[in-house]
Amino acid sequence: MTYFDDRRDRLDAFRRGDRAVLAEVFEVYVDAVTQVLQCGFRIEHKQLTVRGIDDVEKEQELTQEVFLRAFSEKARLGFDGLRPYRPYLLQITRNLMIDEARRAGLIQAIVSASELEDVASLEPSADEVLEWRRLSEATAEYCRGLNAQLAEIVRLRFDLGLSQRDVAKQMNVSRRQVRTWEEAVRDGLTEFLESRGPSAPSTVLKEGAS
Amino acid sequence: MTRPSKPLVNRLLSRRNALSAPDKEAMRERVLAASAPAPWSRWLRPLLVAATACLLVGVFWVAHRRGDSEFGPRGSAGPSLSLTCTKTPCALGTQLLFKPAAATQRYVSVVALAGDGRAVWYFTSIDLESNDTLTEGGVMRRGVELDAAHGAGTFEVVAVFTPTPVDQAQVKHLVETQEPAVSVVRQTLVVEP
Repeated sequence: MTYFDDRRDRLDAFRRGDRAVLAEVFEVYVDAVTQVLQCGFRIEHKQLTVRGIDDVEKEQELTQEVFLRAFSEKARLGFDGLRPYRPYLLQITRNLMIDEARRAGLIQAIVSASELEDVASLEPSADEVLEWRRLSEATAEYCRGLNAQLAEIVRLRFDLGLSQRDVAKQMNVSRRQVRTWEEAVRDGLTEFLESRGPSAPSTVLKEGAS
Repeated sequence: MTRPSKPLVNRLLSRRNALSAPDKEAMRERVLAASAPAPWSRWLRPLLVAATACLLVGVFWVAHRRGDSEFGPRGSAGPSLSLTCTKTPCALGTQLLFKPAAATQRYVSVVALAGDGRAVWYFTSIDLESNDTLTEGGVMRRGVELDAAHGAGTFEVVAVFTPTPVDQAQVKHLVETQEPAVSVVRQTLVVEP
């Protein structure tokens, strides 16, 4: 079941560029896009592996680019609603990754659109998993030392994903106060990780495309 | 040692290696701003241009008609008051707009006198030098709704320009005594039912 199944009204609104529907499509599919960007993929018959993006900021930049392409008028009108949207969006994602890898000189192969439909997703490497675990444990340690207000900010804003406005309402404070506390939590963790030792990286480590 | 990036710190606080809520929220807004501009922004600019054009045409039209009126301003340097409605002709349900021009006086009070002697006060001692009072085109930002309480008919609109703020009683007195320190401009307004 995908977002547009049996919902002609949604498809029409999407193709019109309705803001609310575009926002929903973004929410529904954004994690799938970031997962492909993080992990990469492999086209077996070409023996071609495109590895995930190793820089979190770059990964976010590409995620945004995927949606900008997918939400362009041409792409919206080009989506007929007969095929599921997720594979369509992930194809745009893979296409973008190939463009990036080619630009960086990591691959030379020509890949057709149809070849991007049949790919194997890659899993995060053991190094990546271990690095994430190490950073997560350090973050948990940092969070245990937070006062009640900052701990509540972490819970509401980051765990539950509430907007700053909703957090402000929930905590009965101004939005500016929420923003200040949010910055304090972030700055505190940044300093904490920096002080932890030489291996704290700026990114979750990955190898380049091959 | 490299400083962890803000998106990475957000992810760690979210306890999942995916887009964090704050980053997702910010990205969604950027994508939507580029792909689906808010409905008001799509219409606001043309609407503003159209409204300004209508206003200018209206003010221009009234300014020309005023030449026929015995209540028009005397000479180009004196104070004046132009009236126009958001739709022409002025009728109940439209808004009356004012374009005052004072030679030296800073404040204006405006009252409409109905044929039956009723006074409808529009403004009392509006500061024409305040930044909030006039648009760049010199039209007052505050208009008057021509509603049922205002009523239809023919009105004599009296604008009193004064160097200092005055109250309604003082305005009446100034109009009656024709004090030389103040300027009084009269216009005829016809409000159709």
